[in-house]
Amino acid sequence: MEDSNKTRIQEFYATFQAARTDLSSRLEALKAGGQPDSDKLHALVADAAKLRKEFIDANGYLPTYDQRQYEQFLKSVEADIESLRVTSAPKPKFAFKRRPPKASTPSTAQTCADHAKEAPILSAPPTSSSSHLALSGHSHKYLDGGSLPSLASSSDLTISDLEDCIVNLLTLPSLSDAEDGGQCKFTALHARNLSNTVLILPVFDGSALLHDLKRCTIALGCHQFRMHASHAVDVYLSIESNPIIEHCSSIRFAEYPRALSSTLDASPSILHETSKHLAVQDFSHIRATRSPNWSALPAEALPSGDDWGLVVRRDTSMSRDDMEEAMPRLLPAQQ
Amino acid sequence: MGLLTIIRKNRLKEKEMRILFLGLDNAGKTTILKKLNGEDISGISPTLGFNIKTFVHGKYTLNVWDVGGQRTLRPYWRNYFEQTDALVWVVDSGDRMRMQDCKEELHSLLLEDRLAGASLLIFANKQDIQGSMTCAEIRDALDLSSIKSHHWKILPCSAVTGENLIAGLDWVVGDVADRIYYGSSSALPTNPQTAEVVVS
Repeated sequence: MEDSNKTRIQEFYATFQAARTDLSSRLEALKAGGQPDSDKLHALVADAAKLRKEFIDANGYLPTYDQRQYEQFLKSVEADIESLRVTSAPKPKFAFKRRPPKASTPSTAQTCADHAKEAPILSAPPTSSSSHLALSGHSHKYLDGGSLPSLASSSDLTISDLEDCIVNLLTLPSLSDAEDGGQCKFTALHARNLSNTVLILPVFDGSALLHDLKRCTIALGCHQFRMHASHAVDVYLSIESNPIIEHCSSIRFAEYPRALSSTLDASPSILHETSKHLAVQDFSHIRATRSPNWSALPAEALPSGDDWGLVVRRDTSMSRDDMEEAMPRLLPAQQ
Repeated sequence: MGLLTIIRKNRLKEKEMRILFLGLDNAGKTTILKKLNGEDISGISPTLGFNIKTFVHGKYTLNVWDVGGQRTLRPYWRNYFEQTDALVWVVDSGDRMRMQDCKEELHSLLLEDRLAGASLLIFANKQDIQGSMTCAEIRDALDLSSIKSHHWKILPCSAVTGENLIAGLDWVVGDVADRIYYGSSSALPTNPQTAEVVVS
């Protein structure tokens, strides 16, 4: 057994050495010859591949030192051939074609990546516009139901780009086609980019989605509450599910004020019996420890019924002076 | 008997489909699932993590994965791509302000190799709310016509009223069945690269 292995090793050594000198000389000739002859090159490639195969077959009985030596030589030959091939002919264009989506939406992928780098929150302009309740682009104003268009039935409510405003939508415009004088209802709230604004909303069926709020006070009741990328907001909430905050800081939560629910047409029983306004989940802080981004509003910081009354118990619009009196009492303290 | 036939026969025995529900937060993914399953939908909290629901639809058992859509959770979506037969992309039809965001998330998903070939259903949810975008508006806002890599269809629906939810599942199951189980169904095999389903 040992003997036969020895002879095989020697035999392989002989054949390998012969092939080696042959391959090396042919390689040199091709290299020297300027533009390599493609037929000769192909023959060389085939021979190198054959030698590689023989080497792999022989691996079973070759000692490791020999294996390394042969391997090294083969590698260098293959690298030389590869470089010759590159110079002799432009590399054939080979590509997997199964990537049609990339070709069709390159801009999307690009902007996506850009966005990821830029900021965690998008502020893309709204697309399309069919009729819905919307309040947008006001400053230093008192806005109530009268500021909204009158619609036929329930709708979604969009509030965006407000500064130093008080929005009171406890009373919404009456339905345009209703005989019984029923109110417009909204079943979804989307708010974006509000600052120094007091937003007072009724308790409604649906979800609230808020983006980019700075130093605001919000009172509302809803099914689901999500707030993103906001800072210094006091939230007075009546809710059955867990409120969510993400990329937020200095958010304080409290119960929906009784002073507001009593002014609603319906009885206060519409408030969620067991509100979970303090079961806040911070998606930016998914850990066992308490999130530093929100807290419960301390009792001594709660506005009194009178403070809310300044804003809600009036038939006419608020003057600038009224607003300046009311806002500091409701908004979170300036930092 | 080729390997493909063996694989098909094997899957035929299971008659299972894996469906992935994705979409931005507040789209109503969990609500749709709970509604389909006949559960109470009033106290649903935003999904932290994921839900799995298994139900029988026609001849098939559907394993539906519903993964939270909050921005911080989206990087984890990739963990759920493996072996997905169909992707259901849920859109909040009232969320005009984030349609661009929605489009980008969807199109980047479609580049995923592991989702290649999966059927794509777009649920234009919350149609019960007046003023929401119509199917045609959403199709344009999401640039669905540019999708050539997947079989897709958009359906208006409402998780609150239940409108079109079953119809959507029917389409998903039918489309996946045609592709994977076509040996058993009478339908001819279709080529996802060329065929396109457009419904507005």
